[in-house]
Amino acid sequence: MNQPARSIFSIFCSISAVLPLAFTGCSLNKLAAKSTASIIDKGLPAIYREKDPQFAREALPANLKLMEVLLESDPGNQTLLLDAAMGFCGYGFMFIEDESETRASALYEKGAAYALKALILKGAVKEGSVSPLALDKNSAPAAFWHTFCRAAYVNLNRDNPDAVAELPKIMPVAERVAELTPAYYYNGSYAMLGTYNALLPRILGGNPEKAKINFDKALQGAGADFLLNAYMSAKMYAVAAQDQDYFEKALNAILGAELKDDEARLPNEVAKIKAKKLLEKKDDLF
Amino acid sequence: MTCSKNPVLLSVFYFLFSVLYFLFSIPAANAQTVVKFATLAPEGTAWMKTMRQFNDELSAKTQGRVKFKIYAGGVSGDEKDVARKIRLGQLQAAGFTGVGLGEIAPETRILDTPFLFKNTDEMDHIYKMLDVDFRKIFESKGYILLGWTEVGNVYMFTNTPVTNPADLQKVKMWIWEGDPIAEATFSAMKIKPIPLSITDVMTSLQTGMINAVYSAPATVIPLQWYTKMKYVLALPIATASGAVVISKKAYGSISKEDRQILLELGNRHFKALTAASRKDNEKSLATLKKEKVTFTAPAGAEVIAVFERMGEEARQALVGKLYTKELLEKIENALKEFRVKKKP
Repeated sequence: MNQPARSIFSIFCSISAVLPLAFTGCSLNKLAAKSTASIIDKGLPAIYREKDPQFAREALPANLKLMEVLLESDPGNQTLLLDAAMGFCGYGFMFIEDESETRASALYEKGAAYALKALILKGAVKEGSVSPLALDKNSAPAAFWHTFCRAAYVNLNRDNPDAVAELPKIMPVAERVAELTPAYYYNGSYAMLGTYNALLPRILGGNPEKAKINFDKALQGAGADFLLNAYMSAKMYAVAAQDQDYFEKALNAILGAELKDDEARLPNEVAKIKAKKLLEKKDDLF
Repeated sequence: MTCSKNPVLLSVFYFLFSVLYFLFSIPAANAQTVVKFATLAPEGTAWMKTMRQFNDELSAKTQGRVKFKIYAGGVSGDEKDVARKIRLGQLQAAGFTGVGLGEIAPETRILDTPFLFKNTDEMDHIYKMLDVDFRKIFESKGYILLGWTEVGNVYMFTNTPVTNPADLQKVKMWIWEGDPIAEATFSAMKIKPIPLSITDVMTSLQTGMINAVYSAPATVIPLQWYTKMKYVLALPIATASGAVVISKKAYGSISKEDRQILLELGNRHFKALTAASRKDNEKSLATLKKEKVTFTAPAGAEVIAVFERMGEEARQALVGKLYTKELLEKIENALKEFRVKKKP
């Protein structure tokens, strides 16, 4: 082979070698994202078991951002979408809501958007809204986090009629999730339904008795040792029903609870902090 | 020997007097007055955000001497319960809508009567012009007005389109039981409404017992009634009023200086609240359109005139029941004059 021919051949070989890499670049990124996402998903319990809320609060944003970075490469990764939805909503609820309603609202919107993407991929969204009838056990967790994020957003934006108008659409989803997977996230659907029933005055359709029934369900079995359920029952039901005795007992029980080193450790530590603050407001609430 | 002749006794007397004065007067000046206040407005709403701002500023400006303890979201019961609790001294202040105002000062409900105002300029004019009269009315009933808090324009929501009074004959209209304004309004419209408590409305819409309601847009959304409604007549039938009042007794227990602060803050914050309420209702109308509720226009100027005549008839029917003929004439004449002046 003469010199020019050799050059052409070597160029051809180089191109042949690079082309498959160029075409598989996306797939490689996706593969890397998938395996990292799996590591994150499997590693989440390490965050939930954290005993130091301040440490968790500082560590979570970097992890949430990493999830978003990975989702850029693998936007259809349903495990990652669910983890991101749970992460943004949980972070907003546990650490931001009491300090900045605006920042928490933005986190809830982000979380809800990831949950909605997961639900679209699962075929549970009809005409832009989550369809309770299209849900099954597989899609129920994403529906739970979507409802959690949207309900938390509405709660912080009660002066926004567009937000309030979401309630009649999202609550039937919470009811359906409670039917499909009642124990999911420590009976979380029941805590959500309890909150909803205590949100409005009786005269505007609120129902403290129904709220109590739902919180009682939330506090059984899987949710019995999840202190955020008890905290929400004191904050929402006890105040709506003006049941001071229940309020004090529930919050003092949270403050006196001995915590286990399980996956509810971080939310339970946060529940203690929130319970202490709420108890200090007792005289303003009753 | 008399006291006045003995300098030692005299100084002891003055000393004791000073101590007694100190003991009784200083604590009174520093004492904190906690005003127990109730409202139906839930936490987180524009209403409650304003109320919290008002209270924070009141507490700061009176250096903690006066503070409201707020019972929001109807936890103290409905407005009739709240009025009763104020009479019993269990509460001292409240944010009332028309129902509560009807309990404590029925004359003020003239502001809720049908087709009285055509726009917000007219409302602001009448509220300003009759400020002294209304304050006197409240005072004569044992209350001090801290500020008006307008609820907003009231619309009729239906399941069949309404463009004139005849269309209303086909609907099964709800009426808030015991509301004399609504009774007179629907009587003038020749409608036989179905009286129900507000808590029974949703169930009755679901069962079909009623298929029409009336409400301010910002209220119909949290109540979720609009989810059962297809149409709304784009002509408000009235403007629902509201007010924040404090019992005269509680007001009297506050120092003169702090009363002035209370009145000034009430005036400023609740004026801002009315402005916010108007914006909220505008936003709510936009939300209702997004939620596919169809707005129907009245079928021409003559139809509007017919509705307005019905309003006049209803207002006349309430003379002697809620307010005097003089008060009605004063307002109607002032409005006529205002409209003439406003004409281009």
